[in-house]
Order: sequence, then structure tokens, then C-alpha cells
Amino acid sequence: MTNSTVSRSFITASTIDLDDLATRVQQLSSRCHARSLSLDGAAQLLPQEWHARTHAIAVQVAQISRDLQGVGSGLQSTSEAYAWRESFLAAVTPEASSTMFWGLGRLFALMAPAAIPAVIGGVAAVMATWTLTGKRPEELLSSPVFVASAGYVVSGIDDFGAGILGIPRPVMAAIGEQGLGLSGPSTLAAGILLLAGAGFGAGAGAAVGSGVGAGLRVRAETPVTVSRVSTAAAEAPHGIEDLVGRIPRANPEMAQVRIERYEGAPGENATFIVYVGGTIDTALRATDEPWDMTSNLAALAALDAGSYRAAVLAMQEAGIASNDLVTLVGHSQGGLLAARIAQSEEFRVGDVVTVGAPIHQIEIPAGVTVTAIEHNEDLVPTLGGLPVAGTLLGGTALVWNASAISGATACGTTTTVRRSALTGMAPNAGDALPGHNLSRYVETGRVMDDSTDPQLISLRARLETHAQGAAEVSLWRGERLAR
Amino acid sequence: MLPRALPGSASLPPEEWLIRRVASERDELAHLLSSLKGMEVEPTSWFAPSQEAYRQRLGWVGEELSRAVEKTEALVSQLEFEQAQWRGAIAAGL
Repeated sequence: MTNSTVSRSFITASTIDLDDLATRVQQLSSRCHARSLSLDGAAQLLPQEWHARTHAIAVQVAQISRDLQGVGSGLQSTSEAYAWRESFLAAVTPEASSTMFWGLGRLFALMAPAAIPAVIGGVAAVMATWTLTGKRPEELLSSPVFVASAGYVVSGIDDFGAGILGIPRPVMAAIGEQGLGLSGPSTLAAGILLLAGAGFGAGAGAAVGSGVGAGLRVRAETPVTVSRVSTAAAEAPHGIEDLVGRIPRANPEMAQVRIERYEGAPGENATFIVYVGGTIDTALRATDEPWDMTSNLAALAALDAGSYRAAVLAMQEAGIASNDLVTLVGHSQGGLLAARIAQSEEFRVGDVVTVGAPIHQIEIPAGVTVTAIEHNEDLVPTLGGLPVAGTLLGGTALVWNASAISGATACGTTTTVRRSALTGMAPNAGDALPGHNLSRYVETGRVMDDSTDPQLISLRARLETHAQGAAEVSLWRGERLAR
Repeated sequence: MLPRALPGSASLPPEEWLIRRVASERDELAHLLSSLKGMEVEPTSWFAPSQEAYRQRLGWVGEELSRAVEKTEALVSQLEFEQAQWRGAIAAGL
């Protein structure tokens, strides 16, 4: 069931590259105009026989300036129209796709004998076409069309199931996330956890037990512990590129959480930036690594994820009090945990910055600003379902900005920054999700630092105010304990 | 004293600082052209086809600016040639 009633705003600033280009073209236009005037000035000074010729060049450059002005304005309009269109689609398509998946489910149930071969044939035809065009599987996974489609499938799979079971649409609406909240990506993740636990858990204890002790089961959550790995000093991050670049890399046995403590002004509380890394262990079996697939599914399902508990423990042990202002930054699973921590309201969170994280349907409390950075070629954010447009068609205030549509509500605000990171590049063989790489998100951070989008300017200003001077840095590593 | 005109040529020699100024305009235009060539309209979405039109327009503007640079370059060359002619004539005692 797609969620269309979450009371938060959704802001799209997906066109920062286009805005940046429009600004640069307009600046070039101004410089051409200045050159045209200067050339005309030179023409006046040259002897008569050179005058007309130089003046003609000045006129030509003036025309170029006007042309560039037109291109710059056009690019700006394209950017605005694109942002509007994306927000419109984000608002309209969830309900439509929900109905479509439900209809497909009904059709599938009614025509099962014919539908099963048709589905298998359809999938085979798509795969064959892809193979015949000489493209590799990782190119399919990074295709923006495939990534967008995956979001619809994740959001619509419960509707499809409801269609098969013959559950009427109004009933589905009542029990779905817009009603009782019994279906959606979270429920899907919980279902997978349940099935995986039932399927593999019974026989897995002995095999996994050799690593961290008997009794640890695949897909079973465990207690966790955290330890401070190291401490250091650092300057406050210089912009979003630097901020994203400080997220811990997903390396086995390395720290998963970085906490920076900034001394507040005399008489004021300290402020903190907490960086949370992405999934480290992608294997199906659980080990002593909390940043694993079990935690991924549990965090998606809003259950008690080991990595979530480890991150919160690290924050508590670092001395973060409930009234200290915290900025949370996370990549992939780390972004999901950051959003869940903000949602819990256990800490006073001001900003959440996520990169490549499946947080589309997480409700953010009032006073929290989420900046979700996503690549069009990154499949991971779509695993959280479709983005929720929230207020676009809901009748609340709409503000038209240079490149974004924003809706102001009493709840938290989400700014989604979307960018194509792989345009013109072929993914490396063996790199299954190149659009998900943290290093590519660091590049996007650099583009965001150059952006003149008011919301990104505002984010940079907040970060600057929040983190000033020298920071005391601590790195934390969480581990699972045998149950 | 400079002669008022060379046979079949301009009435006055182009002055050095003016040639330098036009040459500087040429350099500035070449710099702008280089900046323009560094700008690419990349598709941000498969449903934003209008960007292709702007990519083409930027290409045309680039060609036009390239022609303006060539014209300014030709102007500088001719000014320098003219000045050299004058200097030659002066040296020859015309």
C-alpha cells in the first residue's frame, strides 16, 4: 500500500546541476555583454577604416550575450518545470500505481493459468532484450528507469497480494499505512524477516555459532555492545562534501559510528554531529557485525535493529544528552538509522542528512529537517518505497522557489536532492551498485556546495552555525553478542 | 613626423596600445569560449527532453562565439601588419 497521507512535506530539489548550469550560462552572458561594450569602446578609438569592422564584432558578441541569456533563462525554466513535474508525479503516481498493482493482482488471480506463463515469458523477454543489447546486469540495476520501477514494485507488492487474495481496495486502504498501518514497505520487510527466520533460523545456529557463540541465529536479533575505538580532534566540516566524506566507510572490523562534539558557547549545551556508516556485512547469515542485512530489514520494518541499538548506545556513551542539539548524517543503512533515531525523538535532532538511504516513508517529527540525497541510478533508496509527496495536492501552503516546490506543514521537512551520478559512464564490472557508492555521494556533496538553491544555502548555513570551531572526535564500533 | 598615409593604406598607423587592447579583447573572448565549451547540458531525467534543445542552442552559440574570436584574431593580425608596414615605411624614410 502506498502511503499518501503522511503529514509531512516533500520538497524536490532534483535539478541542482541544471540550476548550476543556468547560473553559469547567465554569468557568461553578462561577461559577453561587458566584452561587447568594451569592443565597441575600442572601435570608437580605432582609426575610421577599422571602426565598422570592430563595431560589427561588438554587435555579434552582444547578440551572443542575448542568446546566452535566453539559454540560461530557458534552462532555469526547464529546471523549475522539471521540479514541478517530479513533485506532481510523486503526488499522483503512488495512488495510481497502488490501484494498478491491485488490479494486476486481481487479474493474476482470475487468470492464473495464463498469467503465470505470461509473467515468466515477460521477464524472460526483458532479460533477453537486455542481454542482446550487450548490457551487463549491473547496468540494469543502475538504470534510472529500473530504479524508478523498483520503487513502484516495492510500494505496490502488497496491493498486488491484496488483489490476488481478493481483498477489496477500500479494505486495503483501511488496513494500509494510511489507515491502520498494517501494510507497506515496513510490513514487507517484517514479513521477509519472519519468513527468513522461519526458513533458516532453525538449522543455522551451529554454523554461525562458531563465529560468535552458539545460539546466534540467522535473522534473529541479538544484544549489542559498543566500544570507543579512537579519539582525535578535527575542524568543523566545510560544507556538504566534507560532511558526507566523514561518514565511516563500510569496512569489516572498523568503526561504524563517528561522533563529533562541539563545545557550545559559555552556558550553552554542546552540539554534536553523528555520522553513521552503511551496511558492512551483506551476507545472509548473521555474524558479530550489527551493520548487516538483519539490521537492514529490522530497521526498515521499524523493529529493534541491532545497528540501531548500537548507534544509540554510542551516542549515549559519547555523552549526548536529550537536550543537546544533534545533526545526524548517514549513508545507506546509516541514513535509515539516522531517520529512525530522529523519529524516536530520544534526542534533540535538528538536521538529518542521508545519502542513498531507504527512508521515503518514514515520518519525521516536527522541527527536524531531512535532506535526502539520492542518485537516479541508486536502487537502495527505492527499497523504502515511493517518495511521499504529502502536501503537494493536499491543500496546504505551496511555495514556488527557483527550483523547488515546497510545502510547509507543522511537521518535519524533507528535501530530496536527486542527481544523475553516472551520466555517460559505464559501471565497472563487478560493481553491482555504482550509483550507491559513498564516494559518488561525496561528489554530489561538492555539487550541492556550489548550488545556489535557497534550501541548500539554508542547510549549509545551519551546519555552519551548528558546528563551529574544533571538535572532539570519537569513533565507535558496535558488535553483536551471542543471545 | 609620421607621414599622413601610406599609398593604398590607412590614413593613420594603429597605435600600439590600441592593438594591445583589441588583442586583449580577443583573449577575453577566447577565454569565454573556453568557459562555454566546458558547459554541458546533461540529461537529469528521461522525461526532460527539452534539455536536448538547450544543448543544441549552446552548441550554436559556441560556434558563433568561435567565429567572433576568429574575426577578432584576424583584426589583430591586420592591425599588427598595418603597423609593421608603417614602421617599415618610416625606417625606409618615406
